[in-house]
Amino acid sequence: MNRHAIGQLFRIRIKRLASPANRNVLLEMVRANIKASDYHSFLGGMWSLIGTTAMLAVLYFVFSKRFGQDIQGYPLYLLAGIISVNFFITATSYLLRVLIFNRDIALNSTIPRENLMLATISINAWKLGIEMVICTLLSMAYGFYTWRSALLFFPVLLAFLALVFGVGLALSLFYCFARDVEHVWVIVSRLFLFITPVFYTVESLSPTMRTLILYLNPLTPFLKAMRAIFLHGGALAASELAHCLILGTAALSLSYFIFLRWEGAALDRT
Amino acid sequence: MSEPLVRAEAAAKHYRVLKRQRSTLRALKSLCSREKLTMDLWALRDITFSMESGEKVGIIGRNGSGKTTLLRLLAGIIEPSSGSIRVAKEPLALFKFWIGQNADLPVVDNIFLFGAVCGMKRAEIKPRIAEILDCADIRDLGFAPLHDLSLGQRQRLALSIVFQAPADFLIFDETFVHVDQAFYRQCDAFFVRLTKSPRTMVITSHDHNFLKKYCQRALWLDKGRIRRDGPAAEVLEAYDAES
Repeated sequence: MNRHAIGQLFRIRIKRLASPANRNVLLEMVRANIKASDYHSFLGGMWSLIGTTAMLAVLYFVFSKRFGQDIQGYPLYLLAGIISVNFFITATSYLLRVLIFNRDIALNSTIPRENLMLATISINAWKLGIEMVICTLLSMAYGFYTWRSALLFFPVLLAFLALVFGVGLALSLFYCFARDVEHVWVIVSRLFLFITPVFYTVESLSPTMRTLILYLNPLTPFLKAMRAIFLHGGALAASELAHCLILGTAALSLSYFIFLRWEGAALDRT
Repeated sequence: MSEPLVRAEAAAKHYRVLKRQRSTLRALKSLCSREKLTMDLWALRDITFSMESGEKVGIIGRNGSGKTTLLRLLAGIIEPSSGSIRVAKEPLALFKFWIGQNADLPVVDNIFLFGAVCGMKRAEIKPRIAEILDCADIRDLGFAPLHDLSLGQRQRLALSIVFQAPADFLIFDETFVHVDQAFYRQCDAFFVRLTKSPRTMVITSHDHNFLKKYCQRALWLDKGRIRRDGPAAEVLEAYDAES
């Protein structure tokens, strides 16, 4: 498939995805997924929040003396980090299996495959939304939240969702060709908890590590941005915001290009 | 002259199938030696035909002759490997009798979900729920989880929703096998209405009486190629004579 054909396919797919009929299908799929998930009931939702709270408590008690002394609102600093990295790990792990788990639907229905991915990520995005509301309330309680925070929140969140969706899209495709991808990703994604400044600060690292973690780990700019929003009243430099937007857009565009090019071959392998 | 609803020109589709079970080591070995792990399997070759709006077309052929692949191409689920297939209107395709389901959810939620796939909004489905449940003969099971229904009940439910769908172009792949006698009457009534309507239908079936009754035209696929295309009665007769 050449670039021209992919361009044509891209236009057809976007037109179809944006059609009112497909929006209705997507809405029903999202509704059904959320309704069938734990997050639909109060107790189910609580269970999912308990994991985050437990992790917050452990990290706080272990690291607050070492890293938390100089950070005002260290619990919120931790929470913003845990939530973002957990979302990345969980959502990409779910997305990775979408094409294989939904092979029957992908090959026997006219539902766009993108819908399957979007409906899957919607469960994690719902949980992320609830956790972000908690972060916002905490930020308000600390007195950190400003109108600038509110203004910057949505572009950063959208770019973050684009990054996660892009990575998940690519992984779901690779998984069709090689089942080892799942094992590799389980290991790699866990490492993100440590190679991302969740409980430590970028400044506490050596200059070399700082550069590596800031520019090679796609999550670091988003964590910095989230913390700027929740802890520093939205004091986010334009270059930092641009970094997030470029990362999100690039990850989504590149992955979608690869997806359109290889999805047919990938489904032959499912 | 108006454009036909479907125009296929020298369309072909091949799948890459594995020569033997894949493993990471084999994949790496094939990458180094440049020996392919897969071989091409041509499901369809040189498919050229057109269909006008309102036609009812049956597709026949032995198992593995490419019927389902052709329907998937028409539905836009897969792309041809070469040639082209242009379809002017997005069809409603029913390959398995129930898709997009969430078995943990109640039947009613699944009606909304599958109804959306069939092109209906909640507001359109809501007033028809009782009718759909009645038609599927599961009136008391509306709030039961879908997994509590038998396969036959799920099939009836899916078809009862399809009967309500407003689609102008319908594709069915062996969808009506295994329906019980009582429900067959509902299917019959639906197809009688469909035959008299200006809606377009493409269907695969091994039930020749069914095809003779509801289709004016038939396409006979043999080893991925069109063997014969013409009036249903003639094509079915020729097919029967050979098999």
